Amino acid sequence: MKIYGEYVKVETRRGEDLVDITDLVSEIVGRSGVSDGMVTIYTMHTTTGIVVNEGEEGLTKDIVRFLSKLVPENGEYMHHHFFREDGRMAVNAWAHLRSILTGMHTSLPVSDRRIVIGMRQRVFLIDFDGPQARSIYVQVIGI
Amino acid sequence: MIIDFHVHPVNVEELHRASPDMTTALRDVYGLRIGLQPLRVFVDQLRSFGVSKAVILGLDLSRLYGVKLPSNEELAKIISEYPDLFIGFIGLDPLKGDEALDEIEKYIDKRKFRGVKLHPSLQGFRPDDERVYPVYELLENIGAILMIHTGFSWNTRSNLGYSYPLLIEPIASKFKGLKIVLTHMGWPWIWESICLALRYENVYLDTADTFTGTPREHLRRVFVEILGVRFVEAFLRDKVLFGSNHPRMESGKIIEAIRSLPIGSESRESILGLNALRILGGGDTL
Repeated sequence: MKIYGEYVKVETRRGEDLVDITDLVSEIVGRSGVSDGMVTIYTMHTTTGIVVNEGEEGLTKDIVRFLSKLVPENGEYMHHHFFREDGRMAVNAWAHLRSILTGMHTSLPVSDRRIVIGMRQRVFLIDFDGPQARSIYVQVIGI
Repeated sequence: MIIDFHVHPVNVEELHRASPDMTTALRDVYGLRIGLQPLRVFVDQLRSFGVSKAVILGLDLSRLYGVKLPSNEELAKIISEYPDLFIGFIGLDPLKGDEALDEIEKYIDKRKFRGVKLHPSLQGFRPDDERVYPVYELLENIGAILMIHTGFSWNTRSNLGYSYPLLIEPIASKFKGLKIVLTHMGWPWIWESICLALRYENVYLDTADTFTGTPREHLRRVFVEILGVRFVEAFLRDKVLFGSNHPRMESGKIIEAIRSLPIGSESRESILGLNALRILGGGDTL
């Protein structure tokens, strides 16, 4: 069995941003040497998420708007206080909570050196508190 | 136009790559743990928030801690890459005598570099120490701006006693032609800061950072609950500059908080950019 992994930087462009990372994942699978197995895409940040869904422009906006309604910015969050370890105020509980709702990783099957993915499916990194350069880890396991 | 008057390029990845000591100093001296960002992303952040111009600040901590966050040379490099976005305020140690004066003459050109940022409480000097006066005098003579830290800091290395706003009064009074920006509105000594801003034409206040909640909560507490909208509109609309303290507090979050204040649109536009444009000199040289 082979295990192959890569850290990748993804730059987001807006405060809330969906970045299609499907091609990036496919490239990593291609050079992993794994023919059949599974790929896991994992974000290293607690204010981002990884999701699989359709990349239609309106839908990507709907995803952001829906999550914003579920977890509004102006709530009474216990997280919002001075965070001594960071030396700054924590003011983004909403971004953490939205991240929990999407989850921070996803896994896809790998078959014949390719990810198995539906015609309308794309893999997205969602930044809830961007823009920033974000790190993700992609690990391919198989034979 | 939105001008962020208070930006520290301390987490720009390229600076840390060139000076690895900066990474330790950022955490242990400056008291900030934050992800590094490539300069391009740092710029994208500000632009995505709608910032047209950003004043980036140097900080000379070499006498006490052997580090600059960042150096003026590094500031100059950043400005040269994005001259349409950045305006520099150099860092210097005013207790270094002629070296400090030379630094002012070397860098301040009223184009790329318009002023000096001093942080008495972290740099370890009293702002009313007469040994610092030659710096104030030179800045006044060349028409540069003095931005000086006042008010609170979470950083326990800093001496809060040196950030009391009324320590600035002798300077504001003696150097009447020197434009002085008191950071953080002097919080929690807000009324003391406002005393100076009301009393002296050359004193301004910036809104940087948040101390009592989210930016929206903090600025509401200050502008609405403590000062009152009527007072802000009548007395402070020309005296307050938008500053964020980015990246310790993201520029976009302070902008959103200012926009949420129940003040008139003219006051809001003045705070977000027009006041800064006026004191920086405005016009097409900005």
